[in-house]
Amino acid sequence: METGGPSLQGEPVSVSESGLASEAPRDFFRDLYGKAGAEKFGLSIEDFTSILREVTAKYRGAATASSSDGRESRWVETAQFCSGLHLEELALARACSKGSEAAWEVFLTRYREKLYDAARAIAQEESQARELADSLYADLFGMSKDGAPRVSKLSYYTGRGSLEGWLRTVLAQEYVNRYRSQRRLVSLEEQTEAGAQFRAPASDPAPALDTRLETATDEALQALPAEDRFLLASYFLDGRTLAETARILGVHESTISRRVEKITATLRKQIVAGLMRRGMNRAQAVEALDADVRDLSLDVAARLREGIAQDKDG
Amino acid sequence: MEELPKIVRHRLAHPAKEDAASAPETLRGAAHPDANMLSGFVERSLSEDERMAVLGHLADCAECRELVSLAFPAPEVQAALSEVPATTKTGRRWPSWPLWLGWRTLRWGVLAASVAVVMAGAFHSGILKWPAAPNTANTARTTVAENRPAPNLVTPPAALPAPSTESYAVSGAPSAHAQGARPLQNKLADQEKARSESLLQRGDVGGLAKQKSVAAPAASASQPTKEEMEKSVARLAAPPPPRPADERQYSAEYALKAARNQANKADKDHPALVANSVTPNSRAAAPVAANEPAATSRRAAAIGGVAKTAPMERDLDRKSARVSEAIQVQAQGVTPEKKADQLRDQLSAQNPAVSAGQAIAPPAQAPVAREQSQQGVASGLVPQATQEVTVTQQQAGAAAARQAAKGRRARLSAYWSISAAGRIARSRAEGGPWSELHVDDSVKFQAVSAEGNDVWAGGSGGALYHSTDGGNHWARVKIGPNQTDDQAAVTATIVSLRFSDSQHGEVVTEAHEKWSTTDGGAHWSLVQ
Repeated sequence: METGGPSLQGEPVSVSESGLASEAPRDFFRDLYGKAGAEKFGLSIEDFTSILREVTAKYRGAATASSSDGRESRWVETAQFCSGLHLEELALARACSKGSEAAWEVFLTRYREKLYDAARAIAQEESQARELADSLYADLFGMSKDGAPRVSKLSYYTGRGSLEGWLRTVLAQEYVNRYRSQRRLVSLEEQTEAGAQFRAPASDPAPALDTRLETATDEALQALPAEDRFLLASYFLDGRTLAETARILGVHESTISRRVEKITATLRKQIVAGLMRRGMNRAQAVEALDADVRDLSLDVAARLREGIAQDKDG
Repeated sequence: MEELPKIVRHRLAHPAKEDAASAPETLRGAAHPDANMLSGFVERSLSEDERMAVLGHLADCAECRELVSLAFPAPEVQAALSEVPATTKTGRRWPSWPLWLGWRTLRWGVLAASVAVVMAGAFHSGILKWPAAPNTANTARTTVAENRPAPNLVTPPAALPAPSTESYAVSGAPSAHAQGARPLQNKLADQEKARSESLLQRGDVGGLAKQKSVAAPAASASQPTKEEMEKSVARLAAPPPPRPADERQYSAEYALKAARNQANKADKDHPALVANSVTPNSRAAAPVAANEPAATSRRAAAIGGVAKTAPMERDLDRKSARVSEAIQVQAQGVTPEKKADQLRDQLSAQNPAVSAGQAIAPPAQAPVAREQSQQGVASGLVPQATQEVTVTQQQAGAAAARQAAKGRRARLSAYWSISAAGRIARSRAEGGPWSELHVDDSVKFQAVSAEGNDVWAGGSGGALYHSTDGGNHWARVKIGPNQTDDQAAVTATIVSLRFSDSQHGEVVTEAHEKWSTTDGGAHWSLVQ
């Protein structure tokens, strides 16, 4: 993350039609241009300004403030936003997407091995990792199809995160897509062996007659901060370790551990409270909370009433 | 940790649809945040609003959570993957530090290196000194220590171990003294008698044979070439096999003790001899040691050592002093070449040490014996030689010397010794069984010398036997000024003999007479 934004002083320059203010300091872009080292990748200052305009428009919108004060404050925010971008990597990626040889040389020098390492980490199998990385290289280079103009995947990089992180994410996305597509292409024999071929279709669960528990649970979950919900999902649903979850959230593992316990206890209390608000007493609420989810859709009382009616008819 | 209620799990996995309008602009219209947002989220480069939006999506979207987990594995996973050998990776491999090269491991290496540097400096500057000069130890090893099989001669000859060629090294004995003399001078002075007695009780002949074993090689150690000298020096400069220090000590002690035993025996058996017998050699050594540089001094020590094989008790301390003196002279700078030349001169000038006792000499291995002798002599040079010869030269020379010695050994037809019963013993192979030869049972042989198939053996009554076919046939040779005059023939026991070839040889009797021949024993002349 770059700190210390460029100078906002200088002669205004017009870069309208973008998220940037129509009048921006000329030196600001020149500073960013120099800071990014875009020239060595074969990008002109106009190219670079255009890239910044596109990125800013994507994330900050094209609306311009009407008043001069509003324009000024918006311009400051935009300048801070641009300064927070990974400018050098952004210039490199975009220069690569334009086909700059110098940029590609730098790119391969920096990221070729990292990309293969990332592919190995994701696929955990050498041949699959190579295939994955090679496939991504093809996308990054932008193989043209049917005479269509070449579109490099690097042109989607916006500099919000590091280029390496972006490449990793793209690689993971590619892997997930391939895995899913290959899973769909499993042969019938394999499905039969796996017992999936003739598996009975899951019947639509009958609508629960008493939705109070679900409602109370959803209400309690929605009341939780997004980070807490992510924490619960990552730990309880995905089975990630506390350390892994803590790393993604950027907090210490012990903090995460305490937070999970606290969230779990709080959630129980809130659900019970929600159930009690919905007419249950505490005992019923606690019993309902600990009931098996599969039992929730089964209305025992209705079934019993049906059984009694049938007996009377019979 | 408290378990999450099942209903909560269920609703977490199937969350209620969120209001799309509440999502930020970058997430609107898209099912999932793009790679820029996800990577920015993990790297914490998003704004707080964006971060919370992505986090909210991640809380509800298992696929994106999986994506983040895949793209940004735990550091330990990355570390494990970085351990994959470079050969299994493709493309250009950029240099990376292996894990063992980390600071946690290398800090001990740094510590060890520091200690090594300090120690090296200490040794270099002389603050610390090695406990014992390894080459001196080598000298002791190659001499008396190697002669230790000799005591087995008290057993029947068939059970005798084959004496290694090194066991014939002459100057090893003085070298052993060179190392052990100083401490032993005082130590042995008190313990000498008791040890001699115990040695005699358990088989004095062994000690005798060991001493005697040095006699024959001394006889064959004349006129070494410079090349041989250099080879010997180089060979000795090679690192010796490990040998316990106490064994070296034992070797030195054993040599001196054996010499003293022999002296005692000589005093008892031949009181008349004591005054005159070996002293010429001993005396010859003294001025040399005193006046000449290291090599000659060592040669003098060597001769002294040989002389000690039949010395008198009182000569021992004097010889020890000479050895000490020789060691001191060694400290003076003398180049290996000069030493070699001096050695050669000295060896050619010196009559070989002739001692009382049964000489053990391989017949066809006179060159070997000579070389071993030179090696033993040269071993005295080692402390300086190793400083002056480069390691490469040492190794190459040592290899060449070993090869040459090996070749000579291969040409040996037999090994010779004198058994405890005073008979000539022969072994066909190194390490092989020994067999006694009944050449003349009335004679108690004392010394044997061999040069190729020419074998000479002498013993009691002035009996000297000569074999030209490697010991199969023997003929008695008379020693005297006139072959036809039996009255003038030598009748004193032959205590030592040396034949440098089939024609030239010398014999020493217990009467301190030295007879030499230049025609294979046809004519003899008394050497004054």
